[in-house]
Amino acid sequence: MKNKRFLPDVIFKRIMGFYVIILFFIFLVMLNRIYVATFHTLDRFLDKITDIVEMAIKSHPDTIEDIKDEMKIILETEEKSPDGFLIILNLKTSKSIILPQKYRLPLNYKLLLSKIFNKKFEKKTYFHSYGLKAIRVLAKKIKCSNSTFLIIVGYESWPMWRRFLLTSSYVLLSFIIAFVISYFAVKRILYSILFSLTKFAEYLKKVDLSHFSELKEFRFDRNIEELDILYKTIVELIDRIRKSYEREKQFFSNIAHELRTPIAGLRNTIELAFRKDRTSEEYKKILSKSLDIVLHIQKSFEELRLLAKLENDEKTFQKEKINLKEILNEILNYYTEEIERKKLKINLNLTESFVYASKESVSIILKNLISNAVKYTPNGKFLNISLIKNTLKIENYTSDLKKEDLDKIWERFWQKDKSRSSSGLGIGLNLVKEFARINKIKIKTKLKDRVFSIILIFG
Amino acid sequence: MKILIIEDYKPILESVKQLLEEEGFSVDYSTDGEDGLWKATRFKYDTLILDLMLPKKDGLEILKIIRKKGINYPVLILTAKDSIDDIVKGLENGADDYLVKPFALEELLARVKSLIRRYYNKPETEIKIKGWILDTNKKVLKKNDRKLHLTKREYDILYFLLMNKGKVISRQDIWQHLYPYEELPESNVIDVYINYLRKKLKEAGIDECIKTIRGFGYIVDEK
Repeated sequence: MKNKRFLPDVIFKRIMGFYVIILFFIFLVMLNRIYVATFHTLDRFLDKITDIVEMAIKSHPDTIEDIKDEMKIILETEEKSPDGFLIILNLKTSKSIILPQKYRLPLNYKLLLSKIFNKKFEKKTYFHSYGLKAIRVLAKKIKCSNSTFLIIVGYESWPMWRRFLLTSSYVLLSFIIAFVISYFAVKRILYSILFSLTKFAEYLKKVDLSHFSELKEFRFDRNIEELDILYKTIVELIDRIRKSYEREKQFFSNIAHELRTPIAGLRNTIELAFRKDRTSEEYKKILSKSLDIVLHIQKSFEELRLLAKLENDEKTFQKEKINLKEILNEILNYYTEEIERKKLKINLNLTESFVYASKESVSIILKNLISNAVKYTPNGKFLNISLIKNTLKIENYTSDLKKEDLDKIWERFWQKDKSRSSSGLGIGLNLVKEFARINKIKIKTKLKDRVFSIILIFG
Repeated sequence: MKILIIEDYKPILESVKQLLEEEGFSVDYSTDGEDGLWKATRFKYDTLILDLMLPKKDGLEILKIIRKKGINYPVLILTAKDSIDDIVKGLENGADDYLVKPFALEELLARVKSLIRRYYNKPETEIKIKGWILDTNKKVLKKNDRKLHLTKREYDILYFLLMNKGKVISRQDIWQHLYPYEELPESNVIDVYINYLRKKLKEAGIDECIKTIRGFGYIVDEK
């Protein structure tokens, strides 16, 4: 098992990588800028000055003195001119111009010049440090009209490594400060969020589904939208679980009630028989009542068995090719007696129809629907059953079913009239719905002009 | 004494009804909440046996409504749920007693009788009248070894008057407490029974115990 790590640490381990990469890129950029600042600017300055000086010498080769003022103006107006000096030296005549005149050259400037004169006077950079600072000197030799001129440009500068060291130390320092501040700030926020979450977890531990209504509302210390969303989602989830739990609880309580009631009735009926001596007629009546109740209980258990089967092994219902007409006829035979007794006008329009479904399921569905139709059609009224292709339609006259009942009939334990004798648990239609769902049979109901129709469309 | 049963499950309703009728009670019944509420508020009863799970109107609701209307006869609730909640709710809303299904008929009977005794403030099962004793369990009027034979109606009327000893009882009250609601009152039936009763009581030596209050009804007074 992995070691559990504290969330802020995990986050910072990730962030550290990014920090290092960003820092690396910043150093690269810095290096480039420093290079440009150290060399590039000066090179360009020198080129420019050289061009100007060259042109000036070409026009007045013998009188360099004359270009002094011109150069001065140029130097002063030159934007971004580095703080430095310019020396133009006529190597033939040894005349020189030093600009600006007031420029305070370093003490060992002569040494510097001698160093320069010993070189070949190529375009080159020389560093000469003194103290913290240094002078960067560029020299260039140009030939023009018999004379050789040496142009020396110098300006105060830091050597590159020192510049780099200083700048990078600033960057590094600010980075470290930013990192430390952000670390603690983020850690604080994360801590408080984690603390809220831990408290929320404690709160969730107390959730008892059976006492859900007593649960107080939880409030986060911090007003963070995401936390509220989390809270709402979890509460909704709990509520959904609770509702299905309640339904389940209600279901079992209803079963207990529905079974206990007929047993209570049976007990009382028998007790009444024993209270005193009765005539055989009275005994017969009591026995017949008792039998009715026992049949009722038996039907309830049968329904429960189907329900349990449905919920336990939904997949065991094997689909096969079945003859709907044959099954319908079998079931109708079973109700012939009752249909005759109630004098129902029954119209059958059955064509040969084969569907692919579980035979047991279809039998249960049809048995329930037909027994309901027979039971709830008032005496002497009509009952139509038509089977065309894969569509089965059962229509019957109904005296008391209302439009708003149509949705409710599929609910468990729903009964239009609660005189419960022999009606089972009241989950018959619920079973129909479930079995239809498994077999992908569509069910539609309609109520129009007191005619109730159930239409089954086999998939 | 008249009892109303509101119970939707026929086997229980029929057993209880037959039991009470065999015990000499007059019984009205309803199989749904609406009809039951109508009867419970419209007529006078000595006990209401009320199932809590009823179609159309919940038993608890009926209980609340009749208590709100100031109807104070005893109510015994029947419940198939044994959860304490339901029983407590029932008792808190004005029920006097409860039974959990399945129950024994004899227990129901004993409880109903006890409720009626308490309702009339006569906790003992024997009522004394001028040296005679009306045994409400055995339904006889006796004195030592002597027994006075009374018909069912005579006994019922005497029992009802004795339970209301000292109060003026109208003929309509007597009718309402003895006959099911479907039977329309006949003006002089009660008077006829009272006359029979008076004659029998006089033979036994209990004179002048039922007095007529002109324009109102009858009163039993020992003074």
